[in-house]
Amino acid sequence: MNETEENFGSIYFAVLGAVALAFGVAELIATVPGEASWGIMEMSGIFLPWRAIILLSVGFFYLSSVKNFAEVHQLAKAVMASIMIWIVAGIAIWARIAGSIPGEETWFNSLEGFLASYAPPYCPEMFLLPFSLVIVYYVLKEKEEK
Amino acid sequence: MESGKLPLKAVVIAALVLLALSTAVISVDAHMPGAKAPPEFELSPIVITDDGTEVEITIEDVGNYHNGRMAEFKTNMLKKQNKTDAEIGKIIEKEFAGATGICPCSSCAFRAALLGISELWGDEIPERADIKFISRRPTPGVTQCLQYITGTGPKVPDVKSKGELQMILPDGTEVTDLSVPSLKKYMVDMDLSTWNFVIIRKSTGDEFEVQVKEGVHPEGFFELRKKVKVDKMATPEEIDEFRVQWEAVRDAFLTQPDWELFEGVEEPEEPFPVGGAIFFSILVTGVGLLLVLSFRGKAR
Repeated sequence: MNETEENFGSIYFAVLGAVALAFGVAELIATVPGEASWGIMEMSGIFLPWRAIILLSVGFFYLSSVKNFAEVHQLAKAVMASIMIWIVAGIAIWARIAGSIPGEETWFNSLEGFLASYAPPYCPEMFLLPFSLVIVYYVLKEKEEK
Repeated sequence: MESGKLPLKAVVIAALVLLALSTAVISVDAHMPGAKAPPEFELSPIVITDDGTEVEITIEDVGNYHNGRMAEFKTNMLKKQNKTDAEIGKIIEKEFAGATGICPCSSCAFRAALLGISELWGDEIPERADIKFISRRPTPGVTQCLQYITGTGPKVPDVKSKGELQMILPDGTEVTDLSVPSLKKYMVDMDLSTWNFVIIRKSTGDEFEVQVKEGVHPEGFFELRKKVKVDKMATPEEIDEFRVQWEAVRDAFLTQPDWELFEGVEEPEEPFPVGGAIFFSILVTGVGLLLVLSFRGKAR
């Protein structure tokens, strides 16, 4: 990993960590009324407090990884934070896939009903998911160097 | 049996029976004693202008008006029976305790008016004097709801201009006296055909007919109503059954969409879920890329 890549990684994951931390705080606040929404983002569900704790942890892991980012232990923290996002977002996506197939009163959903299952709102973890994939580049880079 | 005690017992029983009969001799359709409160519902108000002033009429306004009118009717009836003011007060308090005036009839008429006005005026706000209703249902609930909207009923607050309300029964009979005692004469055999309204925009002559769908009322509702309300031959079990059906009909009019309640109303088509289609495409593309990358990795 060259210096430019390291600097980019540091800044990128610092921003991502700050955003994750902000989302975590928002989810934590949303546990009081039980749900909250902002545009196409929605925070609700019985696991909301746990998801808030996970997001807060994600934020802390990302932020603690930015100093000396190229060092393998620091990189591991960012990898761990990304995996946490993948698990929570993966579950949310899987719930949508599973819910999109059966219809309300029929075995299979209509095309409109199927696609409507994937419509907004989305949980904050799903917004973070694509941005967390950047870590794959750094993992592959690390692997190449070895 | 002690012969001396029998007359006293009989007098007490007779007095209790008379007391019960005096309060129930004419059923008040404004409410159903013992009925549960309606579930949570959201009904938009009817918005009209009355001589230039915008007026919002909610189902609660209609219910309160209907309740008030029925309490007044009952009071007058009890006065004719030579009851004292204190006795009347007690009876009214007992009979109308918890009553909201939101019954199947008032809620149906409100929904029909709401639908008819939106169909005939669209986004425009109708002038009260431009509204005409033709009702086929001779009940106080329907009549007083429509009287409140048109401003034609007694004691409707802040009326500056009046619409029109006509009652023509399904057999063609026109009822001109819309007072409760007069309506009672027509409330005998009322089937689904009476759950019908015509809303007219007087300035243009446009009409919209609202007919309640078959299936909104539970099976046997009309027969049971006649048995309970008209013939008064129902057993306590049948009265309980009617109360449950009454609640179900009221709740349907308060909570179900127009296309579930009224004939000829099309369910609006859901817009194509563009957001869902975009997300699904991204998901499929992502999974595809992941598979390609993993196969490439293995090939190396």
